[in-house]
Amino acid sequence: MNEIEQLSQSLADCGYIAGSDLATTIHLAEVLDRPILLEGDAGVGKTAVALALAKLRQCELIRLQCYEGLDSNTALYEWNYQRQLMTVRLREQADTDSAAIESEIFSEEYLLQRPLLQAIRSPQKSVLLIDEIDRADDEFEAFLLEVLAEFQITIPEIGTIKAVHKPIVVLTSNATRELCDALRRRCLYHFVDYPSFDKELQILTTHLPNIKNDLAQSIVSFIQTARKQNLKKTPGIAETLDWASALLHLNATTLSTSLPEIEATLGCLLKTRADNEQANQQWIATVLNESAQRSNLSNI
Amino acid sequence: MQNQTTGATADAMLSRRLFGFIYLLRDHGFQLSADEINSAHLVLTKPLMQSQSLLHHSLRSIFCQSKTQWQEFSTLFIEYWQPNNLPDGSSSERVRDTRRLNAQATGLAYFSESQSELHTQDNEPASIEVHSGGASDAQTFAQRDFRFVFNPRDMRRIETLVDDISRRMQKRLRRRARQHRTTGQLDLRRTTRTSLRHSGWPFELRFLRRQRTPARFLLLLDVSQSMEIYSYLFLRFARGILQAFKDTDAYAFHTELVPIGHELKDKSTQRLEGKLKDLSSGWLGGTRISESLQNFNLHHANNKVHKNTVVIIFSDGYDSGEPDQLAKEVQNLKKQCRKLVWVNPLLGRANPNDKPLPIEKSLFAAIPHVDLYTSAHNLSSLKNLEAAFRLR
Repeated sequence: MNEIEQLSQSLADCGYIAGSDLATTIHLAEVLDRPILLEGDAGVGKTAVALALAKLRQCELIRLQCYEGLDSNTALYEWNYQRQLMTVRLREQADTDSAAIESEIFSEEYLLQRPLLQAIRSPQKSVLLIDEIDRADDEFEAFLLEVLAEFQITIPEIGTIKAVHKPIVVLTSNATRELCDALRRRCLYHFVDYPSFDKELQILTTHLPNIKNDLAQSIVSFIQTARKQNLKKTPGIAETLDWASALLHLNATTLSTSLPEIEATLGCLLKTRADNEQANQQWIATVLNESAQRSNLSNI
Repeated sequence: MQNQTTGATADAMLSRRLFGFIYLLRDHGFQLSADEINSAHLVLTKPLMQSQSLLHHSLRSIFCQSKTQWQEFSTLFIEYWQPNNLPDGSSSERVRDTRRLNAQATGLAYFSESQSELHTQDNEPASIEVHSGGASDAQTFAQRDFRFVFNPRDMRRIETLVDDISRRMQKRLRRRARQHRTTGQLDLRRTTRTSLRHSGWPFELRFLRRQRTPARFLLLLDVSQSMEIYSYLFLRFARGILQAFKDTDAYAFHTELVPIGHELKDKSTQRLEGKLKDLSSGWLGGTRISESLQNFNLHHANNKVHKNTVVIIFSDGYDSGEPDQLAKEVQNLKKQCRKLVWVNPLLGRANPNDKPLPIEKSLFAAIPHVDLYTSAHNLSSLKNLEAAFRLR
């Protein structure tokens, strides 16, 4: 068994089924010390890569959730302003020297570490997950470039802090906007697509070991067919797992005999009003038929 | 000693092969820097990379930077490293052709099946080919009329910039709304309450503010033959606007009116192209602006237009209907909305004597009823459209 196969197997033990392509990317990221950029639709398991990697390497997972308006203060560090203010007032009452107050309130004790600084100062190797980078602004992307290139941060009042252990950086993007070329160039790129039938079946049986093989196969077949329908939000792997759990909870044994259960639980699968309105009994029957035909063909 | 020499020769051969592959990728539009080449070279020398599939996955992770490249990479890899395993009908030439056709397609041809027209364009020499140079050409690039963009790379650059403009526009308008909240009269009661958490110090000021209803946007896009050059980019721009602002809707019109708001809100470009292909069967034909507007006023305006709606029409004004009817419909639409903007890409086009082209007769009757009549024929004028999106 080579290193990639070993990594793939270890990730599977941590609950993440990765193909050899993704395992190769992760292996390279560790060897070359480069961040991984995972792009793909929502719910295909991009964030789960970082979770599994942290579990595998038994290190801390530090997560930075990006959003519009995210700035360096929220991502890097902030001074505990309220505490500084309180100290100033207390020291003033005690007639302390102003220079002493200043050096005290700008010490590490008053520094609030945010995810990027936390990852850089981590005493052990850590996994830094920068989630949904496409939601952040261009300015933040540019700022991130600097941090990812040097893995060091300068705080004017304290000095330069260099990473003791470079964290494994995983960036995820839903591709809602184009990321800048400079950021892409610094990363190893991996496009996470919807899984194939076999892979999805493996994911399902790994996460829900109690599920019967027949039911698991029909669920996966149904979802693979549903992805080909004209849906506003294509169901991802997260939806497959939710739906299968819901069906198991309602004691469904096969999909073909569980129409009421399917109708009742379709909310786990279809997450928009338009998709729910489209998914009437006729739609379910059509998808069931198509998925049954697909299963028959694959059996032949 | 001999073993060492053989190893060195094998390494040199492998490096030469890698450089051959890099040339092939560059030839197909991959932008590869020294960093990536170094990483690839480092990976290639590892014993693990004896396996072709691992080499494939490794080089793909290192060299690809987007989904499109990711999809094209496998064909190029197999063609170069395993030419005997190339499946029928896939080759680098085919990749290049698809890419070129997609990029050269102007207007709605990008979404539609009019590939035959593109083949004929292919045979003609591109007389106005303009090569982009680097940072220095940014100014001319912004001023260049969209109809003069034939270079695939420039087209992609414009698409990205058009997306960017709509996003920046949203950001600025939102920031303006946010800043507005911190002006006006001080709300003493709420400020006193927030001061409690700061030992009575008024650090967080609260202001009295009026409730303002945000603007809604409605985009009407002309997708007829005469607008072919511009309509694709306007659709792309409309898509950016629809995804950036809530309560926004869009309609396309040619000889009839087609709602496209739902399709344009789709974040997946691939799905969007599929949906537009289905919709665009009658597009790129003639134009009946007045009839389309009449249809809109009768059946959609009640639900889609209210007193805070800014209606923006993207059209060159070539109409096969009567000018008076168009003027009447524009007037009716104006009565229902806050602001009516007409964007005519031909407005920025000057004839050889540097005089603006004469305004279309039908449009001449409609212009007095619109609040703003402007052009959007290049990136610079598209950026200036922000004024059109303001309520006042």
